[in-house]
Amino acid sequence: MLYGHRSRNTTNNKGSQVDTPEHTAAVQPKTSSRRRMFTTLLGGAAAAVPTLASSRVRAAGASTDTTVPEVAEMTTTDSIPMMIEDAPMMQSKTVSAGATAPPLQPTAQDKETLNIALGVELAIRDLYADIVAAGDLSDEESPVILLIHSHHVAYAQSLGGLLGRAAINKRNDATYAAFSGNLKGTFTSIASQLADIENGAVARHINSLKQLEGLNGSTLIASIISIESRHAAALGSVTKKPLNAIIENYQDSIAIGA
Amino acid sequence: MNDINITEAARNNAFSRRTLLRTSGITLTAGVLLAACSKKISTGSLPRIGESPTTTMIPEGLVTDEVLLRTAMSVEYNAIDTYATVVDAKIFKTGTNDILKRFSEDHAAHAAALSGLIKQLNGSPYNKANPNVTSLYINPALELVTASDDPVTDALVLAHALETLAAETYQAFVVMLADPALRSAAMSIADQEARHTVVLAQAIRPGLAGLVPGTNDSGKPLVAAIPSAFGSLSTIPIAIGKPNESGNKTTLVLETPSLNSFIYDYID
Repeated sequence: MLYGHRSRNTTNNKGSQVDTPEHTAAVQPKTSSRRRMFTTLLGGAAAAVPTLASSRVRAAGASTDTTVPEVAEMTTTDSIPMMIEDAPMMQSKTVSAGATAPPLQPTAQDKETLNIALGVELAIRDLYADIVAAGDLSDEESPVILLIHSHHVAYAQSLGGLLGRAAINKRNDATYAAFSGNLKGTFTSIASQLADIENGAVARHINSLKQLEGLNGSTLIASIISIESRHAAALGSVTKKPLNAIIENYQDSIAIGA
Repeated sequence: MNDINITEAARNNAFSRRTLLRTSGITLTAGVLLAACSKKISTGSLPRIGESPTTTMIPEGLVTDEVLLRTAMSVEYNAIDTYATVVDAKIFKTGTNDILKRFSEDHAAHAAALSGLIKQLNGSPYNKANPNVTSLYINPALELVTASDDPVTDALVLAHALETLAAETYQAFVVMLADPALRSAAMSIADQEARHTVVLAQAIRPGLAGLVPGTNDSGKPLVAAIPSAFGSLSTIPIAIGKPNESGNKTTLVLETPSLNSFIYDYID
């Protein structure tokens, strides 16, 4: 068996070869040379790996040699405090198509529009409250009016919450005055009037959407429209209105210019 | 036994370990450097066994106002097609068919209005039903309705769910539409879809009691004309079809179109 370059080997009495201490000391400079070579190899390979990996990503991600397009806008949630320490960091990406994203919070103009909507909702809330307070409703009719009243309370509260300190928590007196005198008589006649009020509110809110820039205000108004439309149709259906009058909204927007 | 001088033999050997390591190291380093410097790695050049079909990348879909309006238009056609199928199946004997025909006309008017808006955006109107909504929800639902022991009620439940889906779709798109005027237009259509749901809810559960939310004897929610304070964007579960051995109908859960079912501008 040959041991390569080792010039000083000894053979023991069993015929096998061992390295003596002095031999090890003698070849020290040579083994350090080999270590250097390994170190150089490993260093070169380590330095080349990132370059190699990046070239592979480019090749896999794009069918051509063009640079991968950067995400137009990227936001991370780095600044969001985590509820649990050492929890894995979550990231979200927002890709915009180039247009400026609309604001979330209401703008100054939005606040004016939303305050009108708030005033209308407060007026409608009071109109329903007057009907309940009159105490002329039957056990079947009362839950319907109470339910819709509670919805308008919720709308006013939500609009007030969105507006915050900018909220003018004052009902729209013009709306209240326009309808309060008519809410008398049988349930059918009252429901018919209420359907008109709801239709007017829906028209008001649909017009508001044209002006609202902020998404929070727009989505809130949209979710209110979805149910106020149902209020109008439901009140129309219990008064036996024709189908057209139930599923069409011919009512003008209420509180115009308020 | 020959006396072999090992040391001498080692010195004379051209392929010493040092030479071997040095040569292989240089070769490896050079290879790695050359690979790192290459601009393109062709994955297609790798040896492969068997046939490998080429992959066609789908076009990138951007969610724009046009795409949202095309998607809304497709949902209108979903309703039109469904009502046509229900009417043709002669499930209803009464004036309900007339109501469904009227609703269908409304949906056609909505589609026409959306078509005009899409053209204003220089887009192409989509005059077909949404294929994903059709395959995932409507076709299975229609099969269940036709096989049901109570097809009249189940057809009404399906129609109510479809109108709810349409109304929710517009409401969901408000936050995605960039143009405030389009948000308003979308909700003016949603307004009528919501009114359709009330008419159908009253057909299923008539009277004042049917206006407010309620539950049946087993605690399951009943259809209500006014189901909540704010417009919901949640899923729409419906139980239709022939009851199984336990007396339960099949439950389908409808959802508004999302990224996987939008009608992107590259879809014809």
